[in-house]
Amino acid sequence: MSEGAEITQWLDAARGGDRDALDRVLATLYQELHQMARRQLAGQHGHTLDATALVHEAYLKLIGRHEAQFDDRAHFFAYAASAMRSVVVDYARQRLAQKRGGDLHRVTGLPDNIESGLKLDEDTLALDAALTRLAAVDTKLAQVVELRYFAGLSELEIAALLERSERSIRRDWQKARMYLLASLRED
Amino acid sequence: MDGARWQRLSPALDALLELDAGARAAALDAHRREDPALADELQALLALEAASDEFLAEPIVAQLGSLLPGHHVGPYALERLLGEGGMGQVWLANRADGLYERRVALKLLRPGLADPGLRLRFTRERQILARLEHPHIARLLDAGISADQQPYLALDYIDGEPITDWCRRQRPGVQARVHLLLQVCDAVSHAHTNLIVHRDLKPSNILVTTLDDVRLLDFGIAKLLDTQGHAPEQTRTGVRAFTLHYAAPEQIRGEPVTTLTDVYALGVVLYELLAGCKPYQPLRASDAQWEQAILDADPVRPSLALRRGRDDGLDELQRRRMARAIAGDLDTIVLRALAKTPAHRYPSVEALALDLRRWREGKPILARPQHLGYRVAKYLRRHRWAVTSAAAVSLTLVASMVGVTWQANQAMDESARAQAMQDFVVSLFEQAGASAGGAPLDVRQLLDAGVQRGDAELAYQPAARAELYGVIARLRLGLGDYEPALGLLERQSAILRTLPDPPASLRLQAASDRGRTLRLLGRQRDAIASMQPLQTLAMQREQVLPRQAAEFYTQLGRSRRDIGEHAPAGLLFQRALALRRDAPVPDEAGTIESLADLASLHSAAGDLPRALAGTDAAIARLHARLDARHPLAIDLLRTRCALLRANGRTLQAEASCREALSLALALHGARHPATLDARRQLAALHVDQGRFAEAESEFRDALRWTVARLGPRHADVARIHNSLGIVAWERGDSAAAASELARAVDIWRQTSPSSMLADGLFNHAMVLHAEGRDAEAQPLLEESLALRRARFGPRHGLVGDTLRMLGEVEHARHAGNGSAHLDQAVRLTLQAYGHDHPSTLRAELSRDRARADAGDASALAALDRLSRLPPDDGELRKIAWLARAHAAATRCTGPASANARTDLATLGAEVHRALPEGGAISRDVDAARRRCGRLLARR
Repeated sequence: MSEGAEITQWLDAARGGDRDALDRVLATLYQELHQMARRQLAGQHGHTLDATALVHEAYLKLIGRHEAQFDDRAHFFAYAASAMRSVVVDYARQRLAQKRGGDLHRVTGLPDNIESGLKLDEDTLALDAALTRLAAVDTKLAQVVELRYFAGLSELEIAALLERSERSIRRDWQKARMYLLASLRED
Repeated sequence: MDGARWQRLSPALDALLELDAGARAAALDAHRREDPALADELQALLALEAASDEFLAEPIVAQLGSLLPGHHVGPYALERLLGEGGMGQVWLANRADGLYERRVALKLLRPGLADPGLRLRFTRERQILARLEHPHIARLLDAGISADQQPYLALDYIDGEPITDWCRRQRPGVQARVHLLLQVCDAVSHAHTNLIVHRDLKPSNILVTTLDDVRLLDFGIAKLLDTQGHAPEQTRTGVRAFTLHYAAPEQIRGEPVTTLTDVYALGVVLYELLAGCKPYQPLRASDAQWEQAILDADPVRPSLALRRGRDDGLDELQRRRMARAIAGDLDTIVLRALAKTPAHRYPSVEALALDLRRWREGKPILARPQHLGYRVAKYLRRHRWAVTSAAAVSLTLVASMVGVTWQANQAMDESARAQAMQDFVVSLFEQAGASAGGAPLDVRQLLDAGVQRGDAELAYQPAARAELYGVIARLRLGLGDYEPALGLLERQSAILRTLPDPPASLRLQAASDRGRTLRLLGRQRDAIASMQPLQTLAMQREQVLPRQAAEFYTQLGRSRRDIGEHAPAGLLFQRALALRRDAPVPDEAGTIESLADLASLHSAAGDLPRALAGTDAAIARLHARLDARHPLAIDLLRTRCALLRANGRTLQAEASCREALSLALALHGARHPATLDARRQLAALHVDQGRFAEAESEFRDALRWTVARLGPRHADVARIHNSLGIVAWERGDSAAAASELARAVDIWRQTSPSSMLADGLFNHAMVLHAEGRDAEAQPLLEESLALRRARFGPRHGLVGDTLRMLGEVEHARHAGNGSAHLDQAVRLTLQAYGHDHPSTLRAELSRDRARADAGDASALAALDRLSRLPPDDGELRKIAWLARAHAAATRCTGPASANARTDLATLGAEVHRALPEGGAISRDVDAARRRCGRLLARR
């Protein structure tokens, strides 16, 4: 099967609560983003989006738009990060629904993730809600969180992307964490 | 945390975060003076952030991967990141499951590089790769997929630097550099002997350690990652599985990779070591330009490139001296290794090494294209076969190796390598033969086509054609196609007969193959007739061709053993053992095989304890010297099982048989003949244990497959009918039992040595006797007795068993008859098997039963003794029950009749509990109860 079709399937499965599919989707996306970010740092491409870099068909399918028109790289990455966030959140929501539904609604093939370190559940949803609130008061900070936590870019990479200093990114990151921590405590 | 509050806090935080600890405290104080609440909040937030290091610390994606020091991947604990390559990260790790201390280089493959088939390939290939044991190879120790679906490869951790860097630093002379590369050649050659091609040789994979020792990395990893159905050198994301600069032209074109590809890569490395630069210098360093250069451009002579070189760290004097040394022969060697057409390179890494050694010794080199040998290689490579890439690669390897054996002027010993190659390819096809789906069919078509092409293209090269037939015949044998293999071998001998001077190695190999095939078809005498004329040749060439000679003796010995000529067989096996054990490169697997053969002679002669000891010794040696998961272990375990079973130790036998079966399943898959044999054997054991339903279905399964493979009238098929007969008898279906056994006897009459026929007759008679048809049973037993006496001698244990049954039958026909035979039976079994053997005890049981029937009180006491046999072993337990039943039945008529009746009832319950499926024993016990009931009723 073609790659695009595969990734689309994974995506559906991930949104539907399949952990393996989620891992695959995120891992693939992460790799791609990282490579692109690294190339950006190395200064190989200009500020305009390199068409060849985006030719990866599966990528476009993942983002959901063919012949995507992004204003610039930052716009694109932001979109990608946000897409990853939405996949993770959908996954967590599904899993929660499964758990509450009890064994009656247990979908075969949903593995119990005993050993992987990450638990995607209520915490994720709470974080998502808090992040939404943060975006309402300070979009910049929320964006940094998405890029750093969901897309996995480093502070250096984010700085290059948004054309800001690394220091300012670090500061934003700290502030964002403060907000979220405080916000989550209040829940 | 609402918006308004945040708006106040945010700018303040900006400022505060810019300050260091001291300044920050001061600033907070300033805030406090103005707005204490705000200051508190700011402080709280700062403190909260500082205290919550772990909050969002790891991006979600990294958490999925869990790649941090201390984390576990499979049984390994990560220590530190060593580097990151195209395939993924490499970590220093140690084994964390307490088995032993070992530091490894753990390669963690990127998810994009893995695919669903990887797990299956890892388990299969890991075996092969783990066989690489060489001082200059960093071994692949382990491969697997962790619980988190992370594929990993564990390798020897080597602390060293790439060979090119090392040379740049140490600046050794030309001789030293060639010496280093020879070590590399040695290692690669060893791998090729084990049919593993590196595919990605480059300086970063060739390390020199702190002890100036060469170590090669990453053997076979490219092979591991080889995705089925795709061009082998490309993964889904278009990333190459090899490094471009060192790639051979065929790799770039996506053609199959062979040992010659490694030769090319070694050529590039050698070039770099000598010239200080790469063989190609494209104008721009783009991929396209490199590909072009590799495919088309001719490299400048290394000596010339060296002379033109600049910053390679050499001073002018050394440079000129080196260039002078390289010019001429060494130039030629390097350029030959770098030939664009594989056929024009050295035919093997050993050939390259040989020329390098000749250069070192000042002898003339052999760099001359070898056209003759590559006809075969070329024709097979020209055509793309629609089969799995593994088959294609192996066939190309066959081709290139077959080409090698035709280098008439090569000075080295080809036969060992060619043999190893062929063994490996055969084993590959043994696996292919067992896989599901279309693969076996494709392979057969491929082989047929190979033969046709051979006929056409090698019309004027009869010797090459004969060689090819031999290879394909062995592949056929591996698939279990005995008849087609024989056909090919006959064509092969036809050719050999027409050749004026065929090589001895080929003649011996051909003879061994023919003998083996005929034996597998049950035609032992034909096998001997076919092989015998060449025995002199084998003996003459023993020293020069030890492998072929040993194989020849082994096959001949086995056929002789099968027809009962144990003494000559023993001599042959001994000879084979000596050749294998004492060879310059000891043939470990062969030695073990020979030990097993010798043990089998004891078994054929009926000396079970010695046979068992011999088999156990062979198994121990296998564990010590080879891998416990070696195919040879399957046969050894099965033999062990058979011997233990014959000795009556059913539980231990079952353990061995189960082990053999699971190993066969793991190594060969479910449909392979070896697995079927193992299954059949286990089923027979189940019969002994009373698990009849299981046994029957297993036998029926095995029957289907065996008939499909060998036809309905093969001796192996008869064995299954025999087994089915026993099972049916145990289940009480004597009609079915008799018919199956009659069929077995019928087939065996025509096909087999007398021993099997005698067994069949015995079993058939036993069933008839149980039905009360003793008149029919008697002649069968008499025939069986005669056969066994003739085959084994009059004092053999089996003769004793037969006499026992005969005595029972005679006694049944007319009480009192048969006592002579029963006494004889006891004497013989006692002598042959010993006191405690089930066969002896059975003989005693029969004798004592007959005597008890005649009113002999001491016989009754003897029965009581027998009934107290330990109940844990299956066979002994049965005897105890029978003795008890008979004793009780006899007492039924006496003063203790009430006790006897109760005893029988208890016994009946016990037997039914233990053997829920019933069986002959429980029927006997029930019969005894009924007899008792009748006797009482009559009184």
